[in-house]
Amino acid sequence: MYKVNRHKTIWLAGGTLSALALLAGCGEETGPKEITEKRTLSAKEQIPIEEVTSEQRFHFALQQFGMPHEEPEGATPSAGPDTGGARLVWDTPEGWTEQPATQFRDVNFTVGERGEAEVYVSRMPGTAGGLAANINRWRGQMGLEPISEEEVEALPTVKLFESDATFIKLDGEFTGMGGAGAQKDFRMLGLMLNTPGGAVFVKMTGPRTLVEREEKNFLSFAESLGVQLGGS
Amino acid sequence: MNEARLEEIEKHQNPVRKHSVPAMLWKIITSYGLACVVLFLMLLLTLFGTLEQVEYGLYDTVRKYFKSWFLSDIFGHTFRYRGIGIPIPGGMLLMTVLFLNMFCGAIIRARKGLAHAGILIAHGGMLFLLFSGFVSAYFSQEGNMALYEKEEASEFESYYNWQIEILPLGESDVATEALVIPAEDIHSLKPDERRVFTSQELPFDVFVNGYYRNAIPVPTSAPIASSDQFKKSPVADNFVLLEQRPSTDAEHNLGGTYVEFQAKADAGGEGSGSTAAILWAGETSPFRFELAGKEWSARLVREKWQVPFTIRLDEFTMERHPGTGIARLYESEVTKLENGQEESIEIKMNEPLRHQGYTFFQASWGPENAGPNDRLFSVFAVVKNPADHWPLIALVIVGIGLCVHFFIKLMDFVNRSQKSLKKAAP
Repeated sequence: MYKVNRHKTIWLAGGTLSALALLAGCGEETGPKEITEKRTLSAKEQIPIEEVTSEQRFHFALQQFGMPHEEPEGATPSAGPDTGGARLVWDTPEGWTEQPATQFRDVNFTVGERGEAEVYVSRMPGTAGGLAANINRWRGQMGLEPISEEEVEALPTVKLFESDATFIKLDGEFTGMGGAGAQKDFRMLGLMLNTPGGAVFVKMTGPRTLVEREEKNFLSFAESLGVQLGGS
Repeated sequence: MNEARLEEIEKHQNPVRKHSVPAMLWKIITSYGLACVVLFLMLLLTLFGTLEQVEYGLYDTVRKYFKSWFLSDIFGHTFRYRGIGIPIPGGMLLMTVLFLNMFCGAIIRARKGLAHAGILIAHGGMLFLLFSGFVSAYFSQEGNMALYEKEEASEFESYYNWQIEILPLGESDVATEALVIPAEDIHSLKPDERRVFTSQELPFDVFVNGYYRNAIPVPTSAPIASSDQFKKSPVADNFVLLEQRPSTDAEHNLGGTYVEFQAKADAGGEGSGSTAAILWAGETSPFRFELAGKEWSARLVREKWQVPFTIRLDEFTMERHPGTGIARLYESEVTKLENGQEESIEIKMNEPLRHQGYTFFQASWGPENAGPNDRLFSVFAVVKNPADHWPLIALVIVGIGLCVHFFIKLMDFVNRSQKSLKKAAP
């Protein structure tokens, strides 16, 4: 007899769909795949290919990071990101000493009689790994445990480039990028902002008492930061 | 014996036939109910797809909602039943079901005869419209060709897809041909997946380790490179790839991948061994290396397609709105070169060049922010679609079907009116 109930029909239809899905997945090859396609290069493409360093090949990435980069001779990229020719402007608070920009720092200051504290502004492409990852990276530098995304969301904000930037104030033992030993009783003030043009970081680290005294200057410096278009 | 009696006898002789599995499936597939459900789901897909497009861009949304068989989420929200994810039907699945439903219900099962000819024709047109959609989805190519004046080309490149090319370097470090690892073979790779490619013409195998749709190389000395996400990342010449969220304008994405070239056991040569590199869509120069005693180069470039003729740009004209930099009108005078024959053609906005299944539209120009005296290039959007005109044909068929149906109904009405009049006549 062919008589079946509704459940059997459903199982049959489900089974057929599953079998089709399995069959679709069976097409994946695991071994080496043969390269079969060839293309004759156009006359425009038939140019000498010189040996260049990775820094030269990724010139546009480094440029976007604001890092020093060596421009390859005669490079005519088709897909390089546009940097727009904008530059940062700011008001320097009293007592802060401007230092030359470095590889990863667009703006660089030392603060205090012996330059015990430092302040810098850096820009990264995209979201630079995301807000929570960077907050926790900074917390790690201060010897603190990571916090959850919800806790990151709940952090206070401060105006930076007329947008709300996440503000952190961390006390702890500071271990910076230089790999020097932990510096006790330090404070870190930090601002992070994701913009369509990339992520912006403003950070101050130094002895807690000094940073506490300079907090107002730090916030007014952040507020004064702006972008001037048109190069010079 | 009348028809009703025959049906009754049939029912008694085969009492279970209408409950059999094939019969039930047939009933479901051909039902109006299924068509209504599918059309309602398509309405929902269109609604959610339109809303999601704002955040994720047109290209990604069309791929996710309309060119997929199943969706994993809507606005990032997954649907689960007892921990098991429930797949949401995608546009492809719904259109396939609608095609089957219409073919079985409105063509095979439907009543035939002159009285229903119009309906049959109209449904045939709708089926052809759906079929042309499938052909476009699977067999069309879409890209662009950019030319400066006096330049010519016989290939166009994709807006979205990137392929790996291995270039054997010859005299004076110039390559004349490339071995191509197609975009479809690398785009499907997740960042932690690896795929191996080999060729008899190469003394090495190519290991492609993951593909990022949008990424940027970062030096390992950058602070961001010390974060946890890079702990398991490969490193090539002190660079790692930082994954970026795909752009809402998909053509702006810069793909990236880690590749490793491993000499085959029998390759020989002084340079045998292996070498690794990052290939990035935004790189200024290809990666060059020596392996098995020869010089090679590798790069990530936009997927390219050959055109069976050549286009040369003779003159590009662009007029701006007075006092502004905004283009008012732009058009290109081109020459089509084919089999030794030359033909001059003008390509304007809304006046494309159509030839051998290819359509060249005047799309844009460059470079961006060019001054009045700068040399400009013209950009043509190039489409190869075997079903280019099929939707128009389908709509004409549907129109004819509806006209035939209207005419049959009109004649039926006139006949019935005349009969009524005759009956009513004294």
